[in-house]
Amino acid sequence: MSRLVGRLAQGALLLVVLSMLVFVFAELAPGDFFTGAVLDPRMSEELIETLRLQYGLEQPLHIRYLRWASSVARGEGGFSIAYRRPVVDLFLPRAAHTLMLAGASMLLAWIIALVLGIAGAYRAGGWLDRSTLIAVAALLAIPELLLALLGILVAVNTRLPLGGATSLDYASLSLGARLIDRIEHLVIPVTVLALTSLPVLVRHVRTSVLEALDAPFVRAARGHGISGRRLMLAYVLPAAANPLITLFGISFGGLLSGSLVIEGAMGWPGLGPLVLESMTNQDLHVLLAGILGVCAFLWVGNLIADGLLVLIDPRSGD
Amino acid sequence: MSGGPADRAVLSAANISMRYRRGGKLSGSEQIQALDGMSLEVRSGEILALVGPSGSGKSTLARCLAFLERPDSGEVGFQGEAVPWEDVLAMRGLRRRVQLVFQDPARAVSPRFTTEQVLREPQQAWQQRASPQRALDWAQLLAEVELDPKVLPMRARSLSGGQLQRLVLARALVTEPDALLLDETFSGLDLSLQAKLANLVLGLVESRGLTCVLITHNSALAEQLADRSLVLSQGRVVDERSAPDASTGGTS
Ligand SMILES: Nc1ncnc2c1ncn2[C@@H]1O[C@H](COP(=O)(O)OP(=O)(O)OP(=O)(O)O)[C@@H](O)[C@H]1O
Ligand SMILES: [Mg+2]
Repeated sequence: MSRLVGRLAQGALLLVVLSMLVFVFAELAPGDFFTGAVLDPRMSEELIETLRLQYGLEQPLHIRYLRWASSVARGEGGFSIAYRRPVVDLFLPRAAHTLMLAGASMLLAWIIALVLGIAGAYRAGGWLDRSTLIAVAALLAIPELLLALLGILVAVNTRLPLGGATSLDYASLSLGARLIDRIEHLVIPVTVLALTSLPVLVRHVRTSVLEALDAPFVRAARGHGISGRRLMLAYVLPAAANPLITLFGISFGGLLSGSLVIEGAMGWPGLGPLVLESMTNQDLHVLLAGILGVCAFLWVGNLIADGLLVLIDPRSGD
Repeated sequence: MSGGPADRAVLSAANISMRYRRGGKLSGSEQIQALDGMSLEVRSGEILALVGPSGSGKSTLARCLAFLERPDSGEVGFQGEAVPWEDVLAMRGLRRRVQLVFQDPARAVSPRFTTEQVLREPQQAWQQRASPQRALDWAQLLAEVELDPKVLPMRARSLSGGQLQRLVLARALVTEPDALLLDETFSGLDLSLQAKLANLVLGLVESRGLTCVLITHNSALAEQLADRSLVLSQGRVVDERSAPDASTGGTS
């Protein structure tokens, strides 16, 4: 328990330090949100100066940081100059979409990886193992964006919708129809994102199971005629579980950042486009929320993995 | 016993070779010839010692003789017949009749199992397939290896080195094998424990009529315990030594 508190404090400290770093780096970069506005003929020099004063951009760095921090403490998460709204209002609905996409992809990718990795390792060198390895190598050679394009091609050629998380007439649909509508919108983005993370997962699962199959206690079990499902469930998979659980935690963060890239290409209304936009127009508070959000999720993923490791540690039962 | 059946080979290897890639099975290109055309016979009822320096292929040979790994080439035989590697069911049956006690007992038991589970697993697997009437006499088995029944509910990996060796020895006996392969079972233990375990094994070989292959670095120990010693080096048998009384088949 005290270890959990320690970890939480550590994570909070990490986020604080990270937010400071982002502020400092943003300061080092030339210009601010209104630098681009100078080119807009409707904006006079005076107006821009007034706006800068209004948003407090003229104030020294530490004041700006504290103002941001107090806004976070109030639960607003900062203020987006571009949208003239508290960051939470922008962030939460999009974060929900990103999580939906990343979560569903993670589920799909892990199910496929476990099935192919375990079955392949159990009959290493067999036809399934060899075809899996070839497919994985091919998949690894295809860039993410090309996969996204292929996904778009598939969507165009089937009747699957693409772009957005729901149809335009979503509000008028019945409950069942809404569910189907959501799932239809998820199919292509989830498949593409799952495919991007699949190669690494399959290889790791396969290697971990292969290593476990090589362990002396697994050989001993084989020597006693224990095989098939019993061998896998009672000996091999528990031995392979630890590295896989660690990977599970890491893969969550990886899928999330992969999601940010795929979203833009596939028109998924998640955090990806918002954060990208905030980066180009220097909407600092939105950018901060994006960076801190992704890091927090990475960290939570690792925390969950560590927790699971403690939970299944055979020594913890003694 | 003497004559006929005693001279028959229980286990044999004919010109077996085994090659590994350094750093696991997949990565790396440098290959290691763990076994290089090795041939040997283990006669029924004898205690055969395999002596050789580290890396000479002793453990690899043991895994082949216990039918746990198939050599790249050459034949492994059991009671005069070549082992049918492709026949999964037959192999399962054969593996129970030749038991290997692994070099590192701590790694040879699952970290999740209690001592009792470690012993129960092979017994259940055996009962499922063979004669269902064979109830195991736990008390007798534990007494045979001089293991205190109090350790049964303890996690196997938390046992002491000596207890672990006795446990894996007991596990090897569950399926009533014909032959026992002991991979460095006596190394890494203090001398008195070494002597105790050695006597225990000698007693088991006698009482159960086992054929035994002893793997060791220690040629003095080999000479003391074994009827015959083979010296291995770089995957080959390079020398054979017989104990003076080997022809009588160990009469004590
Ligand atoms: N699974 C494996 N993968 C790769 N190389 C292996 C494997 N098993 C054995 N080897 C290599 O084969 C050679 C023979 O190993 P082996 O374990 O049979 O020797 P050993 O005589 O038992 O040595 P020791 O006395 O140290 O136990 C060594 O060079 C070893 O590194
Ligand atoms: Mg060895």
